[in-house]
Amino acid sequence: MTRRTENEARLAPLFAAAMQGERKAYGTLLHEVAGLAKRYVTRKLGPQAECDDVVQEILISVHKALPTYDPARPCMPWLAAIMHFRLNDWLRARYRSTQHVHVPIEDVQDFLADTVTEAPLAYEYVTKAVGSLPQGQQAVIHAMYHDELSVAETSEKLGMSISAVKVTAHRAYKKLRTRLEEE
Amino acid sequence: MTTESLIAELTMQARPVARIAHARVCAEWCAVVLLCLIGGCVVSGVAEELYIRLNDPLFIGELALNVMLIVIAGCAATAFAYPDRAQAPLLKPALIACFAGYSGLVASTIMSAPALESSAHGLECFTCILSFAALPAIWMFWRLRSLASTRPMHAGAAAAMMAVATGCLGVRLVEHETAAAGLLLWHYIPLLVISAVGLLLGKKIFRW
Repeated sequence: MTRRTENEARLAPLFAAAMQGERKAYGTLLHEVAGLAKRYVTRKLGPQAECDDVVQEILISVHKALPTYDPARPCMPWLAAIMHFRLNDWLRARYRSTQHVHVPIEDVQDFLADTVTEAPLAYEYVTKAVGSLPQGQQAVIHAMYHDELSVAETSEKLGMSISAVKVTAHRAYKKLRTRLEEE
Repeated sequence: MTTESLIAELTMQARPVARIAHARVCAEWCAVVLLCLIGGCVVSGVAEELYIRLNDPLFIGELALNVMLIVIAGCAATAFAYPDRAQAPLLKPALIACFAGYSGLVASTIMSAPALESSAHGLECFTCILSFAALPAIWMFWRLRSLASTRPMHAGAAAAMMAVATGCLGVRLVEHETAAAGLLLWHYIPLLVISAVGLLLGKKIFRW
């Protein structure tokens, strides 16, 4: 039996009972829907904090749209259409909001006097140079400087000994120095 | 608010839900369209030569296409308001067939009618169409708003198209003009334009 058919078999009786007003069945249904929605949204968006917002939007939509559900028809297409619609709705709203970011001037006035070309340019050079390192060295540099972990934490995260982390980092510094001097 | 607390809150609101059947909504708009057509014909008076024109195959074809468009656009608008019916595979081909029929009809009309007749239809036709279409449009948008459209723009366009097709049918029953090239300009191009306006209205009105 496919997952979709399994879901259908599990959810259809819950939908029918929920439409009769059975509170317990409705609660179970919403939990099941939340689980499905969470998997769907996480698959589409990745593990973001906003996933919960979309899941909640989907739950509210299911609650509102229940009168349009026909128990004689399969429930999964109905649910899938709502999940898809709400996710797209949320994405549209997010793109809209990122296009119109309002940053108060007080938040950036300290940085406005800074040079606007040197820092990003230097960052670009470093990023490019780090990208040319072998995978292991990249992982160590990324953990120590991007994630700001200590040597001990880096060794724990990457499953390496502390001395191996130090040696790898040292080799990475040497290569980086050479690459940046060449540039 | 966490998902768990939302579920708890929604569960507390559980109550028997009265299903809004697709067929019922279709029957409702059919009744509104019929009432509107009958009311319009009673108020404006059916064209005297309507019975004579009913022998013209082009006129019969036009009326049939109007009825077909009302039914298809109305069913499509209603289907777009139900999450699981919005992808009905027959909707698009049916609409395309309908517009192909209109194209054939307009081409035949232009070929058969003398050029002078192109001025037979005018702005008055358009305002009359709007007056016939107003009630079905208002009713349709109001009714579909209470459903759960996952394709609001499609639903809006189809609802507007159904209403204007009702207007086109009503006008053809009460006006004294015969078919002419102006039919395209004053009846069927406005139908497409108002359907396009329906797209935008749907986006605003069918939010839920």
